[in-house]
Amino acid sequence: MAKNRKTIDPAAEAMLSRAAELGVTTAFQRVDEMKPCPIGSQGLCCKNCAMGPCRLTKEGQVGICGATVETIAARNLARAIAAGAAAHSDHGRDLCFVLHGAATGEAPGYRIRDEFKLREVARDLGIATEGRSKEEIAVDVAEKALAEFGKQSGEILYLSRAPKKRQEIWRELKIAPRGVDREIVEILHRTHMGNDQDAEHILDQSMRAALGDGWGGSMLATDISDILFGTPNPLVTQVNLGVLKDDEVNIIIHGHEPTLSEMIVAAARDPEMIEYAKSKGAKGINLAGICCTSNETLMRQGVPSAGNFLHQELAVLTGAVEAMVVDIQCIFQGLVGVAEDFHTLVITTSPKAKITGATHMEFDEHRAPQIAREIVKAAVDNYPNRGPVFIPADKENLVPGFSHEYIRYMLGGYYRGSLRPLNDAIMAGRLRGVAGVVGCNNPRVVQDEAHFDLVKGFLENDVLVVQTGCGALCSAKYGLLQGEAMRYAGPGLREICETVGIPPVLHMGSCVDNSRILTVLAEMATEGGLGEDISDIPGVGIAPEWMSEKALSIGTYFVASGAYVLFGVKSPVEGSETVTDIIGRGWESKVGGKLEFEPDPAKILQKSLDHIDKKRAALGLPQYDPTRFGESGDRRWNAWLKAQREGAKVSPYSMAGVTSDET
Amino acid sequence: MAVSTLPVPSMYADHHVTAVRRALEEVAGVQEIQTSAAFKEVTVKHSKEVTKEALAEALGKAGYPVGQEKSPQGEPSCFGDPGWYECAPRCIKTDTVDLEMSGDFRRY
Repeated sequence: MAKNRKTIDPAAEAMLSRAAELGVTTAFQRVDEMKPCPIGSQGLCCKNCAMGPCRLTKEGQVGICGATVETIAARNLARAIAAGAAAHSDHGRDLCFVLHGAATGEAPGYRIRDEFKLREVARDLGIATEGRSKEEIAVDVAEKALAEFGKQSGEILYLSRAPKKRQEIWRELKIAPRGVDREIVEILHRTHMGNDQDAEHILDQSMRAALGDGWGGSMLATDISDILFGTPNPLVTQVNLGVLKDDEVNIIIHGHEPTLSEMIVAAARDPEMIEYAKSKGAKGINLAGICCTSNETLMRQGVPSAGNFLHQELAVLTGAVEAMVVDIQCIFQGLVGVAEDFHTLVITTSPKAKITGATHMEFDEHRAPQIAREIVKAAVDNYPNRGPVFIPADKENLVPGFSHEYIRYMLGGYYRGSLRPLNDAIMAGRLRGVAGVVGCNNPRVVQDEAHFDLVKGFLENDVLVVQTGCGALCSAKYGLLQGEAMRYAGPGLREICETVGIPPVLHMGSCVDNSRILTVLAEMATEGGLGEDISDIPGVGIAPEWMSEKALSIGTYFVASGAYVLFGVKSPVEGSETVTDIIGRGWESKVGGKLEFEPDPAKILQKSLDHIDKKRAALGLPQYDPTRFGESGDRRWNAWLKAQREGAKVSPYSMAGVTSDET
Repeated sequence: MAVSTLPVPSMYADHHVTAVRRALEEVAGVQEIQTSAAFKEVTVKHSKEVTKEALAEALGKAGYPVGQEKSPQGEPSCFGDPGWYECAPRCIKTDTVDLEMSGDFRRY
């Protein structure tokens, strides 16, 4: 690998050359100019009061108030987790309001698309469904879901979806979240100057807040998105910058929320709007996504993706984007600066995310279709201003949309859907285990490299991979989210995937949809054969190129749910051995899961496989043997064909007449 | 009497066939329906008053639009699994009753 290599994506490489040619700066260059603060990056800078900021640089040093290295590192980590949990959960809250509006008719354009899911969610929230209209149920679901955010006592309701043993652990440790918001607020309180100053105690609350995200805010966001826009099921679409078209109006939707983007999809497909685009000289309107708004529209509407997180500025650099429509989270302020050199309109839409210099067209669910049309029209009107265009040809097919519900169906059919075949495959050793490879891109490491190497490594070792967010889009770009990726799979994994008809890497949605992975793990535990709890399952969670606080919240709720989680890049608590030990060995003794930071992808892979094998041994499962399975069906079939070709009198119904040793 | 043959790319499984038949049976004037999930095609015998467009509309409403199947290698298709979407439960939990009823067969 060249030392200054920035990405493994040829489309991104082409765009970076283009950026250099045009003298435009992107995050890929800014990262070289911005050295990380050596104290802050280790978690040792405390700026929680005006006596400081206190920068602790050596062991034993304390802040002005006497706060130790471990207290400061724990407080910083806790605050980051709280911010991540807040971001995901606030996303969920907004979806509750849209569901309420859709049911009462106050949010025109939205409707309850998935009544099955609505009734299922209602049952889990304890809402009566018998003899009631979907609108009546939806109002109650929205109100009860909203109440989960502000609840002050008791437990959030979705905890009941976890295995019983797991629920007991949470109760015993007093980390079962009472309400989504309360636990986040409590972190902010505890980490205020002069309050909670015991690292372990602070970090216990981090688990509680993160659980409120994973089993609360995020899970509600996923469920309500499914109710409003449909539970994902597999479809075929495409990814990478090559999906942009040089003769159509290109609109990119970027961010995380599906509410406005779903309306933009409808507006962009409106024949009247397409005619309007033609009147401006374009051949049509081409919609593409970036980041998790892309994941949402990709898996439900088949809207192609222009790429993951680090592609946002590169897409503008093509000169072919009429409008970059952004909602919330992971949006570079630098987009506005890059867009100044092109005709691209950066349109902010969320009342929570305005960017100086961008055009603000605020989203309001009460008139969403109208706003979506105005946005699409603004993009079309911008088409004649387009200058020179440079679109890389790279694009790849992918099959997204493996919701938990659809995986159950694929494994068990309509009438007895279950994850039993998955458990069976792990127990027999055809699958060594499962891995969730999720998370962001980070320009501090080569874009996509760690994601790709890890996913490929897992496949070669017969580990089934599930992915969400930018990690999923990364694998998609290299063809891993389609049947053709089977060429990387080990023999046992290949056998399972070919039998079921799934790719070896399953796209499960956006980053709030990590909650789908939680429910899959819960069902694997309750199905039997792999222990009684999530912590018994031979599986790991990885975020190899993480960068956001949301990733820390996700990692923490997986750990608190019993999973072994490994993050790449670097540790935000590197400066404190005590905190590193608390979130590793300490959390493992408490909740069965642990959080580790390991920058080397090869070591992440080895640690993951070691952990999977350790869990297999603890369950008494046969030791993983890559030569034991695979090709068995093919071998007999090939022997039959060979015998037939050689003129043997073979039976079409048995191996009779096949004399080969292979029988 | 007229005969219309319509390509239905999303009809590839038995339950799709059932759904397609049900949708077409509801169109007044339809007399006989022959479906093939293998060829993703439906042939309908119907009275002359029934237009091909009316049949296509009924299929479209049922989630089985008429049209040529696109190759996944070419342009992307926005087609998921409407049959599953319309019929399948959205359960995400182990069916404990089913687990109990399965006895030792499903007990580890």
